[in-house]
Amino acid sequence: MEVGALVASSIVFSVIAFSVFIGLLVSRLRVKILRADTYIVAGRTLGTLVFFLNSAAVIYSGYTFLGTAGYSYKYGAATMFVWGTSLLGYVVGYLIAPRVWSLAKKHNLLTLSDFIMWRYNSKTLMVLAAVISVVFQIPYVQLQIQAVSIIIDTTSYGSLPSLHLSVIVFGLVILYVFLGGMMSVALTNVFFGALMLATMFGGSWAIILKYFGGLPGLYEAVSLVSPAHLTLPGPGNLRPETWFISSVIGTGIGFWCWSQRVQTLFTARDVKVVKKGMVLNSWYLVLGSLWVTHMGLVALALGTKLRSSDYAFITLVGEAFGPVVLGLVAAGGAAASLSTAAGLLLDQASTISRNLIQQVFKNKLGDKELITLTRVAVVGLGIISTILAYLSPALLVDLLLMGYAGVTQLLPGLFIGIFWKDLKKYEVLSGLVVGEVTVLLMATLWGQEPFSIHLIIWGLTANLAALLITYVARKTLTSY
Amino acid sequence: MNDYSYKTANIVAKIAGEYTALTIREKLKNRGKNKKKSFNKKLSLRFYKGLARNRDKERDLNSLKTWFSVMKKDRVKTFNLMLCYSVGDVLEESVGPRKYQVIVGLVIFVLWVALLPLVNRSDIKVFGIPLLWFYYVSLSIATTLALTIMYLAER
Repeated sequence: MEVGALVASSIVFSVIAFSVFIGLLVSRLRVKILRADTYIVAGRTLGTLVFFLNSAAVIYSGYTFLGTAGYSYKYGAATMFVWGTSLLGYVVGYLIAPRVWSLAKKHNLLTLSDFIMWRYNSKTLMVLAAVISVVFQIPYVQLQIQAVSIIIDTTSYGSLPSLHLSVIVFGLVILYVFLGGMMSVALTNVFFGALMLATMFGGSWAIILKYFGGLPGLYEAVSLVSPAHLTLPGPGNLRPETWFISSVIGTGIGFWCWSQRVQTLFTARDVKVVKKGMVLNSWYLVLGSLWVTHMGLVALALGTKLRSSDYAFITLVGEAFGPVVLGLVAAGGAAASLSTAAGLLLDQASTISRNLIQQVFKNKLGDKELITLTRVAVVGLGIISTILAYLSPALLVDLLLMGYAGVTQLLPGLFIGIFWKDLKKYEVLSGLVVGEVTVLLMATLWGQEPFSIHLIIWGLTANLAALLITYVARKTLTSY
Repeated sequence: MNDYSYKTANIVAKIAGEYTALTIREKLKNRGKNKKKSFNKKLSLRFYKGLARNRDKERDLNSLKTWFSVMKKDRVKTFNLMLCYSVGDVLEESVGPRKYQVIVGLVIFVLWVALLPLVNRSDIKVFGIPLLWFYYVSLSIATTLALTIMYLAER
């Protein structure tokens, strides 16, 4: 192994080891986890800083770090929909999340499916919501393992078995999630979140300033190499305006339909913390993620040779600043992936134990048994994700978009149901089933974006139509 | 909770709040002027922050308990009943967004999508940055600022 590879890899593994140490330390300090809400939502005790960095670390994943740069390399301006997704998500969150949080606290809700169960008092709907959440999260976990694999591969200059090592690293994450639950996840994510922000902002701007002296220089260079990257529909006419608009709307309103994001909301101490979290997370995007998306353009303008588009950011860092900085930035990328994986694992496990087992089969399950069951689910899901990481590697962004369309079908049940008090389980159930079937059929028959309109919009349109028809039918029937 | 009970709870909260403030003012009549003034100011601030804006359930309940401890014993029972009822439900209802916040949110959504056909041009540059990129970078910062101002305005 080369010296440079050794240095960069050592930094990445040291950072990972330190984060695992934090996770294990927290779990040791919290030996007496007696209540389920302590294990699953940190007892709803997180203050502003920990809540903000934990939610940022869960939201911004390996996709943010690697995928968005790769996306701008491939599709150019279309990548800006990612900014809209998060920022509009925070706007929606600012308006709705305080209400969701207060209801969750009042009724001791721990997962998104708990919320559905409380609102509609329907086990069928709860089970469906739980299954949708868990199933669509599986490729998302797998994606994080692949992102760590890319990072190890780049920092070791291809000299280490990256997939095997990323699985071992993932195993360590499973260990601290297993032991400490949300408290371990949250406090590790404070470290991860801060590291990610520093590396995204520092790494991106260092590269832009080094090669182009600022943004105008970068855009000028891109316009000489590939002007199509600077406007829509982008290179190859692949991303027209309709796609951009439908993606921004669909992913923006569906932002909080991801179960793990809702669960991080529940960890906040009070409503004020939730609102401050939304504001700070929007700053997080503007300071960090916004500039990482430019890295694809940098790679394009410089003509950097990439193994795949997802390698853009860390390849550039390695070429520009050498192994030490590469190690630090790659550690930030690993942090982004592992923090999201930890949040996803805990959410999936708690959804299975609480909504698919406790509330369906064993309603008298105590807190201690529920925690044990969640821990078993953490390990089981970890193993499944590992197997899938070996068996079915796929493009990061496509997996994410398919998942988005699936979980966004929960939107009417979750958020419209809060304000529309006459909405009953029949309407939500019919809408959800029709929406999911539409998404799966259209994805199979026409691909991710039929007629250049995002799959989310197709699914949601069918979902809302079925919901309204059922509502009118119910009203008509009950009036007789 | 239905609309009727929500409205009732709000009315009860208002009456109870005003009555509590009046009672405490009476109670403090014989005390020093400055002390009374500062206490009343503090009381009204805490009360209206607590009930009108309803942000933190525990804190409000604790504040109410403090106020009750100042009051005469025979009134406590009445007000406890009224205020527990009001705080329990009014708080839940009022964490929803305000009208102006919803309007700001909608405007932000519209800005993210409606102007795209106008700004999607390669021939115009602002400060050396293509219009489309300049617009969305600026809009990202503007959205963040709008959220920040919305939060600060609520405090």
